[in-house]
Amino acid sequence: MGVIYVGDRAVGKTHLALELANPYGQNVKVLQPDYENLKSFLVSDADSTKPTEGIDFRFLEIQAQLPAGSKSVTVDWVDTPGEIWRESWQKNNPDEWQSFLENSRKSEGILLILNPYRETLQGSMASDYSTQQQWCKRFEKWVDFFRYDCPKARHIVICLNKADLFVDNLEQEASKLAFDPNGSAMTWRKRHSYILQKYFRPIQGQIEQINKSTRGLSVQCFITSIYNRPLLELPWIYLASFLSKY
Amino acid sequence: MGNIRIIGPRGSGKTSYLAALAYWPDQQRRGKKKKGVKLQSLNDETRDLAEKAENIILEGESLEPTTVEGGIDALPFYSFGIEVKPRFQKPELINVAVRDYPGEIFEELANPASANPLHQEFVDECLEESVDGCLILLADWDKSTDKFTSRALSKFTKQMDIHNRVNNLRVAIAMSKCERGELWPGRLEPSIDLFQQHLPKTLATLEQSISSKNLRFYAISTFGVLGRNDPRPNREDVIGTGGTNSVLREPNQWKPYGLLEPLYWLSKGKRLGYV
Amino acid sequence: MFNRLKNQLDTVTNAGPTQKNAVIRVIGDRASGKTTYMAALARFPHAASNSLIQSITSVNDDGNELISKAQNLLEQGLELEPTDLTANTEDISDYQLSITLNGQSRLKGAGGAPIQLNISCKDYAGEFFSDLLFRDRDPKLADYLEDCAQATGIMFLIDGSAQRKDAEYAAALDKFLKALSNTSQTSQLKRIAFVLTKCELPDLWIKRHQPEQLAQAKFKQVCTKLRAWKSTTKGNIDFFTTSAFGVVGTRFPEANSKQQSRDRGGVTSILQDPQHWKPFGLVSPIYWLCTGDRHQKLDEE
Repeated sequence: MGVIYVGDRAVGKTHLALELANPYGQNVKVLQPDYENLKSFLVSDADSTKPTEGIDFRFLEIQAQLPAGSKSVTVDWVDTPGEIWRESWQKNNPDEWQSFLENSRKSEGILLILNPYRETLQGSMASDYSTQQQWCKRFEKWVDFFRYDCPKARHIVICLNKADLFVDNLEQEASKLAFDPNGSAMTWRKRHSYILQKYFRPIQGQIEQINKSTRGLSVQCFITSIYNRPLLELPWIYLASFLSKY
Repeated sequence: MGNIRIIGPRGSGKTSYLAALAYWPDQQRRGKKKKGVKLQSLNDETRDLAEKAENIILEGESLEPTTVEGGIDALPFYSFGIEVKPRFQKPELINVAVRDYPGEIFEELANPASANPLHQEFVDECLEESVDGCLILLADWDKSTDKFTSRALSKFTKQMDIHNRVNNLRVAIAMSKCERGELWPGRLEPSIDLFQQHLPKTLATLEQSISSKNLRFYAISTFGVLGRNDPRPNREDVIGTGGTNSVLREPNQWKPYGLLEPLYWLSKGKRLGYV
Repeated sequence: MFNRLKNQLDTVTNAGPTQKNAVIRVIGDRASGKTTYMAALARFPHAASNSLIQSITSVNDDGNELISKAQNLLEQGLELEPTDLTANTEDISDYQLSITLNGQSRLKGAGGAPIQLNISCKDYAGEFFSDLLFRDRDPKLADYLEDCAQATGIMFLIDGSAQRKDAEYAAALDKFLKALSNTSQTSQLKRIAFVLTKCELPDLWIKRHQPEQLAQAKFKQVCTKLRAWKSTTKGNIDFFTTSAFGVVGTRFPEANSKQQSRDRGGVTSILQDPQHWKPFGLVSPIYWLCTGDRHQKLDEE
C-alpha cells in the first residue's frame, strides 16, 4: 500500500518524524532515514534562504509492532507549501504539481498533519496560526483533493498536531487513548469518536459524511504531539494494521 | 424461539409495550412479583429502550413515535430472552426477536388507494416465512375504529394469502391500554368481552380468513391497575414533552397485565401456564 | 509374507488422520463477509476444549495473512478492507488451511480416526459477483471463470439480512453457473454450499438450526436456482448458517457484534468483545464440501 505523509510546511512533520525516530520508542520505530539525516532535514527546513515555494519529496520507513507481529510501512513524505491549492501556483510549478498528483494517485493511505487553529490556543503565538474559518476552508480543499484526486485512497488519517498547545492535561488524555495490543484499551472506533467530538468539532460533520458515504474509504482522527510518545505512535499503528505483510 | 412482528395504528402503544417489557427486569429486581418468569434484554437497542422506559413510564417523557422516514433499515430490532418456570416443570428458555412497525404502515392498509412501494417492503418483511407470529395492537374501540380496523385487517389477511402464510402464521390481536375502566373487567375473556362486544366487524374479518388454531385474542395493559381491590388505572395524565402523556400513578405498585402471554403463544404456539 | 506386508501397509495408513481435500472458491456480494469468514476460520479463537475441531493451521503465507488480519483488524474492532478485484487471477490470495477434527467424526470408513480437511481457498472480490459477471466481453471475466473451474466446491456466501436482494442474487448466480459450465476446462465442481452469514443477528440466530428453511424463507429465488442446478448437473447443494463473530453468553446468548450500518445489501458490523470471540458454524460447510457429509456436532458449533 502506498502511503503519503502530507501537510503544509510548518505543521511539524519533520519534528514528528524526528521524535518518532527516538530510540526509546515503544511500538513504532523509524528504520530510515536515520536520526542524523532527519536532523539535517530540520536544518534545511529552517534555512530561510531556501525557496519556500516548491514541494519537497522525501521518504520514511517505519516499523510498527502489532498484535500479529511487526509490520513495515514505506511512506512518501510530501511537504506542501500553503499556496498549493491556488491555480497560479499550480501553473507556475507544473512539474512539482504533476509529481504531487502522481504520488497521491497511487496512495491508499494518507497521513495528513494539521496545525491547530487560533481559537484553541492561548498566548501571543496564537496569532501565528490560522483562524477557525481559514482552517476549515483549508481542510475542505484537502478533502476535495482526497475524494477526487486520490482514487485509490482507502484510509485517511488526520492528525491534529501540537496537542501540547491545546490539550489541558496531555498525560491524562494520552493514557485514555493509548494503544494496548491486549485489547484492554479503547477501541479504534471509540478513539476516533472521542477525538472527533472533542477536537474536530468544526469539521465533524464533514468527516462523518465521508465515513458514511464512501464505502472502502475511512477517515480516522488523532491528536499528536512530540511531547507524548503514545499519542505520537497511534496513527502509525493504525495505518500499519491494514498493510499486508507479504 | 420466536421471530415476531408487531403492527398497529399510531398511538396503539406498540413501542410502549416493548419498553415495558424491556424495563421489566429492573422492576423485578426491586422485588416485584411475577416469579416464574424472567426477562432479559439481549442487545443494545433493547437496553436503550429499557433506559428510555424509565423516563417514559415514570416521568412522562414522550417516546418518539417510530416513523417510516428512515426506511425499514432504520427500524430497531429488539431481542429478549425469556425464562419461564412452570410449576413442576423444567425451566423453558425462549429467545424472542421483535420488530415493531410504524403506525402508518397499518393505517395505510385501510386506505384502498395506497400503493407506496416503500411501505410494501415493511409488509413483505412482516410476512416473511421466517416470521413465527404477528402481534396486532389496537387501542380504540368505537364504531368507526371497528370499520377502519376491519378494512386494514382485510387487506392484511389478503397479504398473508399472497405470501402464503394463511396456514402457518400465528396472529395475536391485543387490545392495549386495557386498564381503562370500560375494558378492565373484559380482560379475562378478551375475544368475547372486548372484541365481540366492541369490535365485531374486525372479529368477523379475522375469523373468516384465519383458522382458529392460528388466531388468539388478548388484553394488555402496560400500566396495569392500582391493586387487586382497586381497579383504578395506575395511570395519570401529565403535561409532558409532547403534550399530555400517561405516566404511572404509583410506581411502587406497577403491575402490568398480559405482556408476556401473546409473545409466548406467538413463539411457541401454546399457552403460557405458570404461577 | 504378502499378508504380513499388507498388514504393515494397513498399519501405516491407519497411523495418520484421514485426509480429505477440496479446492474451494468463495463467492458472494460485496460486504457479504467472505474475507471475514476466512479470517475468523484461520484465527480459530477460543476453541472449547470439548470441540470437535482440534486445530486449524495455515499452510501458506496467504493463510498466515488471514490470521494477521484477524488479530490486527477484527480483534481491534476494525472492519476488513474490501477485497480488490485483481488484474491478474494469479494475484488472488489463495488461502491454504488444514483443519484437524478429532476422532469423533464418524465419517464412513474412518473408523473413529481423526480427519484432516485440507483446503485451498480463494475468495473473490464482491465485485466479481455483482459486476464482472455481467460484463461478458471483459477478458478478466474469462480469467476468473477459468480460475473458478478448478474448484471442487463453491461456497456461496449471502448476508442473512439481505433478503431484499433475492432476485438480484438469483440472477447473478444463474449467470455464474451458466458461465462456469461454458469454460474451456471441464468443471470439477461437485458441490455448492449456500452459506448464510451474520447469523449472530437475533432473528437469524433463532433459526440457526434450520438452515434450509431459513434460506428458503429469505432467498426463495436463489434456492430455486440452486435446486435447478442440482437436478441438471447431478451436483449437490446444501444449506448452512454461520457467524464469523458468534455470540456471547450461554443461557441468553447475545450477538458478539456491533452494527455499523444496515441497508438493502445487509448489515455491516465489527466484533464487539474480542476476549470472548467464538465464531459459529464456520467449519461445517467446509466439512461438507470436502466429504459430502454433514456432522451434527459440527453443525452445532
